[in-house]
Amino acid sequence: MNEIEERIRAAVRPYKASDALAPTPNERGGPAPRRRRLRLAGLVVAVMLVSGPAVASTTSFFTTAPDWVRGILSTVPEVDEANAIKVGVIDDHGTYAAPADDGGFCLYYAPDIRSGPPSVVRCVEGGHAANVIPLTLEMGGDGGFVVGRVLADGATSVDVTLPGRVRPITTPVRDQGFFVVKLPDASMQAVPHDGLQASLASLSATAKDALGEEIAMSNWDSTVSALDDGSGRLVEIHAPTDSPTDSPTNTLAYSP
Amino acid sequence: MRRRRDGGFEQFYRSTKDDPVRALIVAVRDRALAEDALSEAYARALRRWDDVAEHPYPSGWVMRTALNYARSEGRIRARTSSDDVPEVPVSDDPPTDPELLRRILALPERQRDVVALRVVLDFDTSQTAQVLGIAEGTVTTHLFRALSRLEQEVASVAPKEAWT
Repeated sequence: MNEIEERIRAAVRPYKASDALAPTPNERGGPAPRRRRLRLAGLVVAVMLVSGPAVASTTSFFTTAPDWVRGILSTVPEVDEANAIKVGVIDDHGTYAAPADDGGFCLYYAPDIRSGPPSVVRCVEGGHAANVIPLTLEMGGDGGFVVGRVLADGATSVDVTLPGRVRPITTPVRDQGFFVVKLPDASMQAVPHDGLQASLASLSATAKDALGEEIAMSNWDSTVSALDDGSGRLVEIHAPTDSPTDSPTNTLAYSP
Repeated sequence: MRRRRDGGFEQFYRSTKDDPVRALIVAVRDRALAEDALSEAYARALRRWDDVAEHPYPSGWVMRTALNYARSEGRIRARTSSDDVPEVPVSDDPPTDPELLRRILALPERQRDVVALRVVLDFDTSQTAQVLGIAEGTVTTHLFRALSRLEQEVASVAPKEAWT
């Protein structure tokens, strides 16, 4: 029986636990967070803080973007390319995010072996609002993820409600306020089934502090997707035609 | 001496998180449900970590909690026929033996439970029996039947080479 047992272990080895499974400090004292539907089109954006982006609690988590990616991002105005991170890989394209001065962030998809260098960086606007979470749904053929950024001081975790999923996923707030949630299988199936607008309507994020108080949330205007042509601000870049390609692993993973 | 509450949990979580996901996918055949259940189980473990850390099998405690949660959610499809082969959930890395995985997922529920615990998690018969609340002899019987069936069904199917 040993041979078949080894084959069974090998067959399930491609499955890995998402870091989003890890309980956060908020989950110590009470029941796990219940699903919240915060989506209200036209939700009033409350007080706008214009004192500049504060950085939420940080721990070393993401892989720093390589120099050649930071070089490309340095051509984008009002972007902190020095703190660019690797978010993950979609359809063989390495995906990088850099914090923007307005509290949002810009995403750069690296070329793969088949594609030419991209000509634009897509920026998700932050509006300098600490209590609003800019959020984007990124999805390819083999996987996808939600990327967001929390500016609110003291934010330690984010509850992310995803299309096609009953319970929110709670994930820590990381470097520069970034958080990333890999789309589970249920969401990958729900988005094409439900359509983009319905999927975005069911996508939301709520940031909490260490005491579990809600201190920031996404809203309709702050939730975008690369799948929507009119979504985000496109900044033209001039990447060299010999930009390195990212590792064509054909896997989806954000780097712990 | 009791372990320090958070530090001990962090170490426990980091060292155990992957195999339970794999085991739960085998048991419940639904990745989203497996992740939901495991997330809930780890959250409960953290809330009562002082007690769970003293448990003879903390991993067993998490698995039992996760399985109970998944089944109480009532979202497990009660398909037990080998003719009704479910879809293989999307994996993080390229699948290496999808045909075997399909056959595992087509096993009856109790056989999948035993395979998940005895093979994927490498629990011994006694631990498996305790987690599932069944007799050790029942564990042995289910495991024998499951492995025999899988051996017979996939003997001629070679694992697919990993993508590079």
